[in-house]
Amino acid sequence: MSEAPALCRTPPRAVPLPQIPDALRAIWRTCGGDERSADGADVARSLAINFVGTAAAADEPMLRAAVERLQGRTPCRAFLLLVDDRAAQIGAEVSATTRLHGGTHDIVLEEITVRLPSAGFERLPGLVRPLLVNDLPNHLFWATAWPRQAHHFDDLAALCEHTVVDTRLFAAPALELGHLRARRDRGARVTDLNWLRLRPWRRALAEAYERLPAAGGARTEVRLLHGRAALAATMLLGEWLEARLGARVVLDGGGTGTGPCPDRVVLRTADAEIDLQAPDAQIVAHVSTAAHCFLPFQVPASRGTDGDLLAAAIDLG
Amino acid sequence: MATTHDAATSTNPLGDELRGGRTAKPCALVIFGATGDLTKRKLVPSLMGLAKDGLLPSGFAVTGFARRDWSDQKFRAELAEGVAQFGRSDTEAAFAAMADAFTFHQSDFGDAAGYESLKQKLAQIDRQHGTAGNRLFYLATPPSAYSTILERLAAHGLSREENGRFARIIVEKPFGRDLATAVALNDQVRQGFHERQVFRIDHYLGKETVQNILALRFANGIFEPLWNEKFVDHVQITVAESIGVGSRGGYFEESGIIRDMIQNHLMQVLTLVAMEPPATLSADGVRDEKVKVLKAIRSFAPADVDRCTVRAQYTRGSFGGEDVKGYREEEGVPANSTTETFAAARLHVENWRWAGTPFYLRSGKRLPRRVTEVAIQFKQPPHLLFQGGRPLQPNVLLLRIQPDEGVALRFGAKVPGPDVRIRDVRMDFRYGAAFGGETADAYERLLLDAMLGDGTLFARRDEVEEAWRIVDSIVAGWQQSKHRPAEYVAGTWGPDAADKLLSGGRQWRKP
Ligand SMILES: NC(=O)c1ccc[n+]([C@@H]2O[C@H](COP(=O)([O-])OP(=O)(O)OC[C@H]3O[C@@H](n4cnc5c(N)ncnc54)[C@H](OP(=O)(O)O)[C@@H]3O)[C@@H](O)[C@H]2O)c1
Repeated sequence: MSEAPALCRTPPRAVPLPQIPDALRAIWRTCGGDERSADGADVARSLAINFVGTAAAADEPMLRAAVERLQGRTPCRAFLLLVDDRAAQIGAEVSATTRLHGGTHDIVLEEITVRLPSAGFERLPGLVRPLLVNDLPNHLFWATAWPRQAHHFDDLAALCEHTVVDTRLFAAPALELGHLRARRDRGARVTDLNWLRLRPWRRALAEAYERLPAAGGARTEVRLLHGRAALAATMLLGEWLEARLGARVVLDGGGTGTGPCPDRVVLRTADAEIDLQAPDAQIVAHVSTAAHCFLPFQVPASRGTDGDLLAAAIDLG
Repeated sequence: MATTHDAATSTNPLGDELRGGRTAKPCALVIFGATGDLTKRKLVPSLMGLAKDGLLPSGFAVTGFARRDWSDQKFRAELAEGVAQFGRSDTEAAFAAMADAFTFHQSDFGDAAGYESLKQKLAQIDRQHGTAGNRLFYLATPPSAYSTILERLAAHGLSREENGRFARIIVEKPFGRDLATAVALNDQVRQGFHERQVFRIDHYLGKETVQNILALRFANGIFEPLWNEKFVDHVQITVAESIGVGSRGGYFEESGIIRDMIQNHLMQVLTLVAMEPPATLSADGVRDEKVKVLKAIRSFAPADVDRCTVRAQYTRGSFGGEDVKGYREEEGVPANSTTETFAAARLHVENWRWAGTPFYLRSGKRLPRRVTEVAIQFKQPPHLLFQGGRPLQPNVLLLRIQPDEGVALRFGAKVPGPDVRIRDVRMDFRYGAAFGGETADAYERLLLDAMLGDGTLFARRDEVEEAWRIVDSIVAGWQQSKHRPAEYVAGTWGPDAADKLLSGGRQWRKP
């Protein structure tokens, strides 16, 4: 199996906004110039996408971790747009990460970090647009709550072919999931990390159904128990079960879990019961039918970090 | 089976969560030869790679069938060791989470009672693990055992597919040692299994970069118009190994490089390079086109074999700063052996697309580097404007399969300055750079496809037999030849005779 390649990140350099393109070119030279790096290895630039990520400044570590993970799968030029109301004005810094791979330094990440007060949001599309690398797909990661002014979202989304959101961060999912639906209906390509986070639950339900006799229009009742942070995900799961199974779904917010996914799913038909719970890292599924009680099975409850989910979302987009 | 719920026949209203994500239906895998090297090094580590990526069904269990007196615990401990040593990162945890689904079944392959008790055991596994009566058998055994196992499986009804349940069999190479034995083996397989139940593994087809040959050709508009005799001068396919035969001398003596590499890996790569676009990417759509390529390659007449092929053995030499033995000095190899460790051949695919374009295949041991590549060499432009009309290096499109997987294009560019001078430059795409992350082992993809019932990346009976037909005609020519195999010094690119296969100023690449 392949060894983990060596990564090297240049120190971030603060630059005035108009000088960002020059600063990026200078980084090229720091990494070894147009042809050869200081240690004699070839240098290549292997960017596959432009990535535009926006988050509250307090969530900077989350966004950085996600970009770091993304870079391992999809080399990119990344714009990290951090909204910080303590910032007096818009400031930027640039850095690059290279990966030593088979005797070549590949520039796999060009980071442009922009810190701005919320009032500066209007200027972002004009700042980002000319810096997007030509001919590459553009992906927006809206890693924050639904904005008070919807056009902030729409203006950045308009720069990109694909938008990734995380509805876990939405304050009022009952209303805001509808905003997303409206945009999808208008043809926008939107992927929700929360939906990907639910994949193990959807998968466990599907696996459990493999053990059931043909449903044949049997009435299905579902109870979803969830904690506060899991409201958006639970709503998504409930809508899905209603649509797929014609199930009558009840959401119960009395759960004590603090994670983004439901605490428990209990599904009943006339002659079968499926009960899923995730006490720790595994979803444990109990399935019984009128004729048979199967050994419980397990599905890993998580598909990785938010960064892993983001990389998967970008692949999907 | 009476109490086992017949889940396989039900339609799952949430099923696209599984199929869309390429999750297989529940099944039990029976590995014949489960105490062997292949199981420990490849099969179970690959299964755990699938588990880690969430691609195994939750209704899944493995039964190891072999002769040794092992308990379930001993079996699991051996497998855990194999996963730790050979698995991808984090696969140990995946194994720990599902170790209970691995059980051992002690029996001789020839013992009928062992199959009856296997049947009962599988029924119990269905009840406990929800494997729904679906079976996948893996022959990870010496080929001499295939016949007994196939016969017993059929005799005990284990190969039968009923009520929507599947029974599939994966067969490891070698598929015979010549056409006659391959036909006999295939006939025997057919007595118990339909062709659609049979999955003949050539692990080369599980490699991402081999599959990418199809993507490169048929997902891009620019290559296909040039992919024919009008523009392509010739094609070179190289599978080079830097190691010698080591302790496998006895085994290798029986096969030689032509059976070990050319009949399977090189022929498979050749078919992917030369085939016509399939109407669909279905298993038979792709394999129908591949087999047409083999059918378009004529068997060699004995008199042509010396002219169109080369065989050779490595002799003592120096490799990586160390002295290494010659082939005939290796353990298990007789001093008068004529088994080839290097073979090269010039083949013609006699069809509309490739008429007159030679395909040069070569494979050998103790060559300077371990490398697999396909080089498509294009014709020179019709009129030479530059360098005083002297020919420049031809354009080459290089598909590198291992290592440094990628695609490169060599073309001429003007050297900056007042004169018009042209120099070769290379445009290079490397998978590792563009798509980071860990790549799965070829066995992962193939095991998953067999569970899904997708035979695209497996060799069909007619492909195997056509490839043997061609190889048999070469071997027959060598047997009748008055010449011994040529020699090459270990660590070089093969014998001088190989250069003579290429005519008209063509040269072997030194990758
Ligand atoms: N090893 C690899 O990396 C590799 C790669 C590609 C292809 N292959 C192919 O895969 C196949 C298996 O290779 P391997 O290296 O795993 O072989 P191996 O290490 O020799 O293992 C042979 C297995 O067969 C069992 N066996 C043999 N005779 C038996 C009998 N009469 N009854 C019950 N069990 C019996 C052995 O069980 P006991 O030990 O309990 O007797 C052992 O589990 C071969 O066809 C090989 O060409 C192997």
